[in-house]
Formats: sequence, C-alpha cells, structure tokens
Amino acid sequence: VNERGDDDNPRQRFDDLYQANYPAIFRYVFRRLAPGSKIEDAADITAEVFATAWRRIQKVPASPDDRFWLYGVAGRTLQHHRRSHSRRERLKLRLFSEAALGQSVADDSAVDADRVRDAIASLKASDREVFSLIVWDELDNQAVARILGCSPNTVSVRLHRARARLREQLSEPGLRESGISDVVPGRTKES
Amino acid sequence: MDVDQLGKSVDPARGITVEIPDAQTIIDRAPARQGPRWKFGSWTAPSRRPAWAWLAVVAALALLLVFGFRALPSSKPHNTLPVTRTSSPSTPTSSVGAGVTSVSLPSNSWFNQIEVSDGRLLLSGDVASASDSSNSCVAATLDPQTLQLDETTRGSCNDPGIFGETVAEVNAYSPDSNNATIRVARIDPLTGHVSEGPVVMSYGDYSDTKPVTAYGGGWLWIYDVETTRGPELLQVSSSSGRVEDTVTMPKLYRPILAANEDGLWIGNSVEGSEAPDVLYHVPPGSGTATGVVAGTSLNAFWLVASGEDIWAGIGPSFNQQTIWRFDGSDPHAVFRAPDHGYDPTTVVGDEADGLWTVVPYPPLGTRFVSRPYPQVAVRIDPDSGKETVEASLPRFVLPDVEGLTTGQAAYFEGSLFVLEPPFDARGYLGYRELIRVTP
Repeated sequence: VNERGDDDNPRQRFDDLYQANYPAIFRYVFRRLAPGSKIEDAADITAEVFATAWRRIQKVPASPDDRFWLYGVAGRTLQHHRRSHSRRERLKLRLFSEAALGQSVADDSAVDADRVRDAIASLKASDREVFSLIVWDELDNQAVARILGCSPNTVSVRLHRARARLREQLSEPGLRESGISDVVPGRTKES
Repeated sequence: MDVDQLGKSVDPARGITVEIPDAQTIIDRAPARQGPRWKFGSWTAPSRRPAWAWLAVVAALALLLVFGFRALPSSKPHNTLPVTRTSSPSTPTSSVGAGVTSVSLPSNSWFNQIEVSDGRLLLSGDVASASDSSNSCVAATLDPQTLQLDETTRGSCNDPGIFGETVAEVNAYSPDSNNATIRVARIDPLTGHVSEGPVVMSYGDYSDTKPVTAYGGGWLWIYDVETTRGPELLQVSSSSGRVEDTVTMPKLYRPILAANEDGLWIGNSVEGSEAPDVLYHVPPGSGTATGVVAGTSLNAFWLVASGEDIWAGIGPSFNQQTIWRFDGSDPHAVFRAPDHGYDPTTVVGDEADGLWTVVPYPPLGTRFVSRPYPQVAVRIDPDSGKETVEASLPRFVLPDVEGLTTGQAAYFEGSLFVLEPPFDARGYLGYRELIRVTP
C-alpha cells in the first residue's frame, strides 16, 4: 500500500508516470547541464531520475504532485552530478564548455542570443531558477513554489526581480532584438 | 522589452525532439546502480612497492596470462568481466622537435591514465564500446623506446590485475540510498584467483565524500571522510588484502594522497574545507595522523612520494606555491623553495629521476585561450626544488587554466610521457596522443 492509500500495480503506475513526464524532465535536465552538453548526458541523468522514481515508487505522491516530486529529484540529481565531478571529470566539463564556446564564436548571428544567455546566467541563482522554471519549463507560480519549497509570493518576488534585472541588462545599447530568431512581439506571461 | 520572449528564444532545449526510451531500461538500471569507475573516479597516487610485491604481481600476471580470468574460480560473484587480450597494431610515430616524439593513440580505446606500474609503463582507460553499466576497462603496456602498445588487456575496472595491482578497493552502492560499502579485491599470487573480502568500510556516497586511495610501501590506503565511524583511514596489506590498521582521521574533503615506505601523506586540497593542518603523515601501523605542516589558509596542490621522500606543493593558491621536501618521518622540512611562476598542478617522478610537470607557459592565470597554446616540461630538482624548463611540447588547444591532471603524465627510463590533448567521447575522457619528452 503506497502513501496514497491504494495498492496500484507499481509497474503500471511507473509506466504512467514515465510516459507523462519523461519529456518535461528531460528538458528540465538538459537546460541545466553545462553548455555544450550532449543529449546523451541529459538522457543519462533523466534515466537516473526515473530510476530513483522506480526505486521509490511507493513514495511518489499522486498526480499532479508527482511531477513536482520528479522536478525535485531531478534538481538534486543534477546538483549531485555537478558536485560529484572529480578534477578529472571537471576536465571533461571544460571540454564541453570549450566546444560550446567554439560554436558560439563561429556563429556571428548568435551574438545577441549570447548576450541574452549571459544576462540570464548573471542572475542570482534563486532568481534564475524561478525565471527558467516559468519561462522554459512553462510552470505557473504555484507549481514553482511546490518544486522550490517556498511560497508563491516568494516566487513572484523572485520572478519580478529577475525580469527587472534582465530588462535592465538587455536594454543597454548594443542588443539587436531582431537578431534573435523566433522572437515574437508581445508578452506571453505576466504575474 | 519582453524579457520572457527573449529568454524563451535562448531556451537550450528549444527544438530538441525528446525520444522516450523503453521504461524497462530504466527499471533494469534501478536495482543495481553502478558507481563511477573506481580507477578514474578516485585519485590514485603513483605506486612504489618493494621487490617482493613486484614478484607477487608478476607471478599473478603470469598466471593470468596462462589461464585467463574466465577459467579462474571466484569465491564470491562480482562483476569481473572476462579479460581479453589483443595485440595492438603498429602506430606511426612522428618527431615534433628535438627530444620530443608523439604517437597517436588507438581510437577504439580511451586511454586516460599513464603510470609506472610493475616496472613498466602502463596505459589504462575505458573501453570505448562499453555501456555505462559494463564497468569495463582497458590497459596496455607501452614500449618506452618504440612507443608501441605491446599488449592490450580488457576486463572489469574492479579487477586489480588490469592495473598491475594485487589489491584494489571495490565499491558497492545501495540501490535506494546514498550508502555505499568497500570490499577489498585481491589476486592470489599463487593461483591468480581474484576474490573479494568482507566489507571493510561503509560510507555515505556524496560528491565530497568519495573514497580516495593511494598505493605505496606495500600498502593500499583507503580514506573516506564520511564513513559510519567518521573520517577514517584504512591501511590494507597489498599482499594479504587484510586491513592492518584503522586510523581515526581529521575531516578532510577531497584530500590528495601519496604513499611511500614511511606511510601515507595526506594533504588538504584546494577543494577541501578548513583544517588545522594542510599536510598529515600516518606511519604504517601507528594508528594516528600527525600534522606536519600547519596552516588553515593553506592548500596542498600536489604530492609526490617515493622511497623515503615526500615532496609537496603548498600555498594559499596555485600561483603562490612553495615546494617542500620531507625525508623519512622527520617532520622538519629538508627544504622549502618558492615556485617561480610555473604553478604546477600535478607532479610526477622521484629522487632518481627528478620531479616533472607540464605547464602552460607563459602562465594562463585565469584566462581562457581557444587557440593552441605553448606548454613546457619543467624539471624540479628533487634536492633543491629549483625549477628548469627542459623542453617545449607541441601546441594544443588547452581546455582551461588548470594544468596537468592526475594520471596524465609519468616519468620512465629517462623520458617524460604525457597524454595530450584531452577529448570527450560520450562522457568519457580520452587523449589523442602520447608525447615522449627526452631531455
């Protein structure tokens, strides 16, 4: 009997959880890997997240909290992944970064996109996480609050701070908005 | 300005098509989580063993060569793979400068470590075709004159024989927690039988708490900062595989280790936390760790141990190092010499051959350079600490400001052997060339 008080077939429950959430968790992981990381790296870490889910399937909460639980596991798995690198393994990470740098230097059209990336990267970590969960993972404030273990009000404050900081940085001379492909005028989210 | 849209436009995952693998592959993976490959996941110091140990190792390897692992009995099932051996094709060598010769490494094996073991030059690494769960490693003996790989051996990364050792620590990870255990795998020198002993250490497997090992003086030393009994050091006999001493240690995260006949030397690394001393010494069988160099604001950047000597690079930062030498168990330094801007990160060698390192020169500092950059081989006089540039290496694009890493170089029979440049292949580290520098 699991924490939800029922006795579902664990394999079926895992399959449902897996099919419904794999793409979202994969993207969440991929976005947070070192620049230039490969699909295989994200797949490996995502597999680790779901392997944890399978091992603890009886403790996975019911939907919709199950997805938030997976985001939490993914965050910890990523953190562990980053911190567990030995000096030798960090050499590999730098190789990844080097490859990514080479690509961006070679692509002049990506200069402004680089500036946006740099601006996002310069945000305070907690603000950046909120911004990326809202904008990239397309979660709402309530969901982000569940994942990060804070109040929705805190999420709103951090998001406001992140947006203000980005506007400040990106409004400085030199940014060519038109240089960034697929930029659609108008706002998509507001909180 | 719509910063959300701008942000979305640089979403790293934008445009990626996610294919969902078969869920069964995840379930298959869950019950038996594989840990990092021990040989490369930990910092293993260069080994120096007495003659009897060499003989034991040679005997074990000879038996292994005759019988092969497949035919050997095992007292306990463990994930030792069958050892296969292949002869390597000839690889062309090219001279790239006076005293400098390079050879391309085979592309089908990702050699990422070079060391002197059993009186030979041993290259080791991961098997290129292996999946993450196969835990398969490769080793080959390198002819220092011709730079030919004489024989390639494949087998489990948990097999001490692959790396020319008689004992090795084998980590086992709990599938549903961060608890892990260590057993000692040992090759019986008479029968070649590989067996694992009882659990000798239980620890929390977190990023900063992975076990660190060193071979030297006839011992395998295993340190972990977060065992169930607190920070602990095990002194394991390389001949019997038994734990001969257990030492309660200071709390050192990610320390660096080096062992010689006088015991273990353990340094508080730049990745560690604050500790009263930066260098500790543990004589064999003493049961205690004694601080040798005090200083909460200092870090140990490299250690070299051989015979009765130990050298260390110590300082507040990489570019403010002092080279220390100690002899025997005397806590008073033989000398302290300033590093003159070479900022070594890894040093190899011994009293007879001198100490050697390879560094970008002029120093990169914190700069990143994406073009090929000069590197020099520097010899450190073992008796004075004086540094001299002995050769220039071919230029490569260097991955970052950090110089030589553990296992990237070895000094053998009058030449320095260096692996360069590094590359990544499906998450594993490899090197494209082997460079021999003969001063």
